[in-house]
Amino acid sequence: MPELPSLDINRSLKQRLSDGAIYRPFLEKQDIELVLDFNAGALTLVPSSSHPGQVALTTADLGIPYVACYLDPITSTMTQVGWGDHWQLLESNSWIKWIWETAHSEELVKFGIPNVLTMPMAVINDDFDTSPLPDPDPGPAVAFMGHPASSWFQSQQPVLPGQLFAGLTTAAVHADMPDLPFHKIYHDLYQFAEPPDSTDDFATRVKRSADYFAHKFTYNAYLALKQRDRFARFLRLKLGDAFELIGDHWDVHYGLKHTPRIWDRKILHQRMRRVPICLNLMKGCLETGLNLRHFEVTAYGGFMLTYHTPELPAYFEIGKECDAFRDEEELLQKIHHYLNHPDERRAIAAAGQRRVLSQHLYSHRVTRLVELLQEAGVLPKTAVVHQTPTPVPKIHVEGVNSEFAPVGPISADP
Amino acid sequence: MRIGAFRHGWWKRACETLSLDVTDLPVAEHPSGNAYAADLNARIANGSKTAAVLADLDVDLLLDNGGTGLGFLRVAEGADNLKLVHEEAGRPLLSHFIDPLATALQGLPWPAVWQCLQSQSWGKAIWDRAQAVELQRLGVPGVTHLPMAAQDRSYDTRPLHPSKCMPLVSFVGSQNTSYFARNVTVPTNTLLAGTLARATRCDLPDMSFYDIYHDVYGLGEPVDPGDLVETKINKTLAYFNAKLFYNASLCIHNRDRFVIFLKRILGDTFHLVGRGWDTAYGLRTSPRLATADEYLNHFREAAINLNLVNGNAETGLNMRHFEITAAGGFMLCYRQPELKEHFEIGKECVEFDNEADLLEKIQYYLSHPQERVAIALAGQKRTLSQHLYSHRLQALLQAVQPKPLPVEYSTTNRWDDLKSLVPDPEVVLDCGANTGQTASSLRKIYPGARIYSFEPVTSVFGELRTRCEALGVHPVKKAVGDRDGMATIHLTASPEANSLLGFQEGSPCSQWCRVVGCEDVEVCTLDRWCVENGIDLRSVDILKLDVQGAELQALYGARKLLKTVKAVYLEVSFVPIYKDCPLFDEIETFMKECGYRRQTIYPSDQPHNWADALYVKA
Repeated sequence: MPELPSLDINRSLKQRLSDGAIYRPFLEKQDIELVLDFNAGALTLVPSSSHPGQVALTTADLGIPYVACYLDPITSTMTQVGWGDHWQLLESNSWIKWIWETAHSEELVKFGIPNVLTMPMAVINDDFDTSPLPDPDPGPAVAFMGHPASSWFQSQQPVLPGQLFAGLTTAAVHADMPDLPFHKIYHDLYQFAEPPDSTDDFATRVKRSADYFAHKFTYNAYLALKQRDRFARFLRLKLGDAFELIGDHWDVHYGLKHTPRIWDRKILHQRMRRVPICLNLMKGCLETGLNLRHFEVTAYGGFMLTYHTPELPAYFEIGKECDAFRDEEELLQKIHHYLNHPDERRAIAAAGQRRVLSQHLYSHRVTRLVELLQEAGVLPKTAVVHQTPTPVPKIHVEGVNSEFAPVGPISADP
Repeated sequence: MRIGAFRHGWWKRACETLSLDVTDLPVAEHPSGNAYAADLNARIANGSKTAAVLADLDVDLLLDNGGTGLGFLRVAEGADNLKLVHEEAGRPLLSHFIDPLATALQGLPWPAVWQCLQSQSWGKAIWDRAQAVELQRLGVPGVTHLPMAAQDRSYDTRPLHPSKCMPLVSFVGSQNTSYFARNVTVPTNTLLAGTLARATRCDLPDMSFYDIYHDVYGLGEPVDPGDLVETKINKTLAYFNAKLFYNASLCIHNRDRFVIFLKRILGDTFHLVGRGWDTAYGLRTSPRLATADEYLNHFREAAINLNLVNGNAETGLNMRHFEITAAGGFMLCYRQPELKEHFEIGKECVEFDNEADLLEKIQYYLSHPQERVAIALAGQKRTLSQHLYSHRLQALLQAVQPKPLPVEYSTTNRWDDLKSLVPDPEVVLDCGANTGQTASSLRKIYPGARIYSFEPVTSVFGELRTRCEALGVHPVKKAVGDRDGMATIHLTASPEANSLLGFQEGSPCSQWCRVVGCEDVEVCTLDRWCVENGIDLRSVDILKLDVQGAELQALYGARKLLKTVKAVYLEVSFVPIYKDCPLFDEIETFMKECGYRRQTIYPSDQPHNWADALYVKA
């Protein structure tokens, strides 16, 4: 696709309309059957051909299916676009939303968003070093690469305690029923509000979704502490300089010593291979799924020790291809164990790498995506991508038993 | 024994059950009717009355609930000229806290509360183990754990009739947090500690707020015995302020959520009696139970009595656990760590873990009435035989029987004493440094000394190293012992109790010394370590040992050093706290053999169990 002035996922609708004027002539000239995107950064708009005075997705206006994979939840993108406009775009049939975790995709389907598809993240196809792991670099035994997941608690922002109630109640229930996602607790168990109904008018749908995500904000902030920030703070305290925090803002948010973010991907990936234990801690936006780091650390041959997440067993054999911990005590215990058992660490890293390179590259995801779109009639059966005959891991989506299945019907007619 | 009870029916009846002579004493009043809100003036006014009564009354022990018997006497003008009534009268006061101490003494400013808490003759019996340990670790003397109980009275012990079961499911209790209804904003940074604790307890449900705040995340400095009073007050105040949001969130976790849930699912089949539910959540409640008999009968009439503890409970049981079962009702309660210590779960009461489990058990027990009746009967037997206030009083009286202290303790400040004995040491060895608490105190009194802090456990050493950097102290990641090499150290529930020695069954410190893991660590003898690190043995002037029962081993490995070291400050045990740990007499004998005399000995928060001794070269 031609270059745009900016691919900022939060740029305005006006800018996206201007960007449509760049994409449209390009797409008109090319024989393109599918447009693929991340985080809707390449979502552009054009004046509608069929409805004068209105705008349409560039791809929709040209009859080309558009798939955007979300690496972050929908609420984290298009923050400069009004919620109503954003919601209207999400309700577009021509846009297929590739969502990376079950909880988020179920949530969107419940809100009436069409064409939602669940597929996990993966790692970009690259020239991976598959040689046995070298001896670790001298220095820190454990490293985490990432920024603090929440600045909310340091912001001293005034908040009305009542706004915290739904998030805290959900957190309490989640403590006792860890596989239950926010939307089920919020709507089904506690009925804090009604989910949108298909008979609701647009304004009601927008309001209901806005209220829901506003309540979820506190819960996400809680998850940010639960899944990431707490462990960074804990290990800095317990391991001192044996733990390296590679990322920005840890000093500002928590007064923790850290080294700056590594911008050069090659250097970052080498670091993943050369630190004895590469920690993976998820952000607050994740409820059930895996993040990019799960696939990245393992693909580049690092030994990954990750906080447990419900979907992890679907993609890795825990204890053989990576290892997981569930609390501070187990984290420390496993760090000590693996530091004292380097051969076991190497074997796990090698097995993890084999798994990712055979099943979790983006080429695997695109192959499966095309199959699904063909099955749904969105793409013609003749569309072919590089075929990789590998088994696909199973994920569980309530009510659907197929693998990597769409959680809602995918419409063939944009 | 003669008891003075501060107008409290439970204690009075318990005394009568035990045939103890009991006299009613007045409590300070507050216009709101809430005795917990009694302020300083009310307690001064009441203090004079109490003092007058006590002058003519022959009682051995004063008993109250929630510190309502805490009174003051003004001995001269000025805020600092207040004395505690019970101390002035020379009578021990024992308070049973059925609410957290910070709640029960809410009418008093925190500095005054803190000063009172230091009273050695005021026994604080705390209903929740986590809160009892919290106070002990904050340095409050005289703290014991004493669960709540049911009143001594006559109960209907006939088996329940299974067909008599209306309402089907009932909960009796108030909605107790107004935190979420307030129309005043709070800054988000005040939510950090509470949210972190909630997140951690999600994965480690038995961990207390104190452990999370201090040991796991280092959100604040623990109180050090050597701290100035003002520092202690500021540290504890910051701690309890940080805990405020946590307690509010526990109200939701432990109680409110289930009430909201059941009202939604069961509607009026769920019978709710208590204040606040209508205003907080718009839930319909039934009229309050006006008399004690109505209240107890209600528990017998309901098929299932739900029990949900309040937001102030971390581990303990509330009064309802004992009241429902004493009355003969069938109790279904949310799981709580101390429940299994009091009831056989599944046989004397039933617990649930979450919303799904709650619904499932309600359905099950409604359709198995005979099982319900049998459990209720067994629960009643248990409570009437073990969990009445008279049983608690018996335990208290045993605990307060005068027990001579193992030694005569010093009341002077340990760091002042050390400074005057060794004014300008060249080298100080701080062994068993933990996170550097003692190193901080040593650095304050010895700004010019070379201090080496030894700590072998990785999880603790990280924090020590950070603190040492700030203090200009040298951290050494080793244990000290009687040989060089490797050893396994036992990691304990409290990291301050990590020890080379194993767990001692029946240890009075078992809640801290419980082994939760182990780590292989390097051990060195101090004699060899000094030589290898170029430290002239004669330059070492002070040796501090706090190595959790392994002090004698460390001393064996320091025989050369002990020829010249001027002062040795070390922890000693009077009872077996760790497996095979040497007791005080053995240490004393060894120190004498090495040419030391005991200068003095300082009490710990468990003066019958352990202390810190200071020896100087004779």
